[in-house]
Amino acid sequence: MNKLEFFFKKLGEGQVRLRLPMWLSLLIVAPALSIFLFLDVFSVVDKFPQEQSYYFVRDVEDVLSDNPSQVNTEYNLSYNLNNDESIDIVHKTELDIITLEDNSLKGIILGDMKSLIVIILLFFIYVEMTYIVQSLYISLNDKVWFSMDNYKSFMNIVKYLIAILITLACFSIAYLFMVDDVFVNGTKVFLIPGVWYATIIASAVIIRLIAYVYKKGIELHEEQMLTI
Amino acid sequence: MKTSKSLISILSSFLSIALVISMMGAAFAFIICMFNIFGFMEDTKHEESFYIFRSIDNVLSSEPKQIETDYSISYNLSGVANSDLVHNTTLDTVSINDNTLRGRILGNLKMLFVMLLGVLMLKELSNIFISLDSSIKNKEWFSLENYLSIRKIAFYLLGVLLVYIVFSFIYFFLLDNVIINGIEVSIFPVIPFFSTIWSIAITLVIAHVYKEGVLLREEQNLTI
Repeated sequence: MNKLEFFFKKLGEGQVRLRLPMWLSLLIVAPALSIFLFLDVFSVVDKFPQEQSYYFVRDVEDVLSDNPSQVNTEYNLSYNLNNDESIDIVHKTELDIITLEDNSLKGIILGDMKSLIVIILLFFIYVEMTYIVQSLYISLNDKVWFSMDNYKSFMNIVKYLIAILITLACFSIAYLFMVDDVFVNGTKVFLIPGVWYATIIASAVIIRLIAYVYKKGIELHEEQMLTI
Repeated sequence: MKTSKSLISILSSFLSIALVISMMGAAFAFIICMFNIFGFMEDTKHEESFYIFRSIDNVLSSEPKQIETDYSISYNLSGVANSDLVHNTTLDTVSINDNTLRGRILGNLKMLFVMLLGVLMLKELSNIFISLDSSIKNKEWFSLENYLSIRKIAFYLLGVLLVYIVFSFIYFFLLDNVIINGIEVSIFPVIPFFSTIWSIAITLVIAHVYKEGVLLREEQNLTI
């Protein structure tokens, strides 16, 4: 067994984790990001637009009773379909999410904080996913498909997803309390946070269940090792 | 652990109910499609979405071309009024309607295929969760049936992708001279390609790891 194989075997067994690349990347990414955000806060670079997206409804009763409202904006469209006559129509594009911008100092600080937290959490998710893929790749050789480290990685991903959800919800709700009298095309509307929440919750639940079944595999593997 | 068991039980019941509802929905949709094809219903049209590009060179070299449409927005933020801003909503896809018999047949066929594959996926998913729910009692977490179900889901996803590709490209070859707000644009089909391929790959990896669990259990049963 050469050194590389030995290293990968140890890696697969979870005895050596690739912490080094993770911390190296963090050491490069974090200062670069901090400098950019510092410059952004003091307006040295072009302002990074601070935006919060919301669904909206026409009146408060719609929040419970109806789908989010849509505002139509129009554009002209014409085309030939299979050499038939050219069709000229006014199309409508439906707008169901609006974005609020806040380019004050407070807005920039809040927006940058949100971006920073989410980027760091996404980075951690990426690292955990890398661990899992590496470990599964090693398993092709050593046939140890169920390891506690992978289970921990799955659970960490769930924790990071929940942290992202909480971060997005906190910032979204913070703006919700600061904003009022919102009019779209002259119609007063009410805002509802929650653009990506369902996707994040569904992903967290699915990964949690995969982790649970995976843990049963680890128990089975351990039992088998004890039998041998 | 208790949370996971509860989640499995809840999802198992939820998916069983969803399967029954979706099968009823599919049967109802089949009848609606027949009415649609023969033009008994109003608003029957087939829509295909395409990315838009300023010129054919942009297809390979650039992001999709965005055409902006405006709307006005005003709000108070912490007591400061941001009144009457003109916002742009960018339009990077365009939907083409075809209200002819061909359009109705193609559109409804596509919908039926996707719906059928969706119901089949839901059926397999429901089977998996029913099996996992029973595993809470009998402790048999790894079964060959579940492995086959996970693999089937991957293939059904591939089926959905193929349906999207086939129907989008039929219209891609039928269309020309697309002009939006006076600008002639080139178009390219909107196909959820990367997200679907990514989902298929992940599903197959999960299936493979699960299969190793099935083998482990079989070995353990033989040892006993």
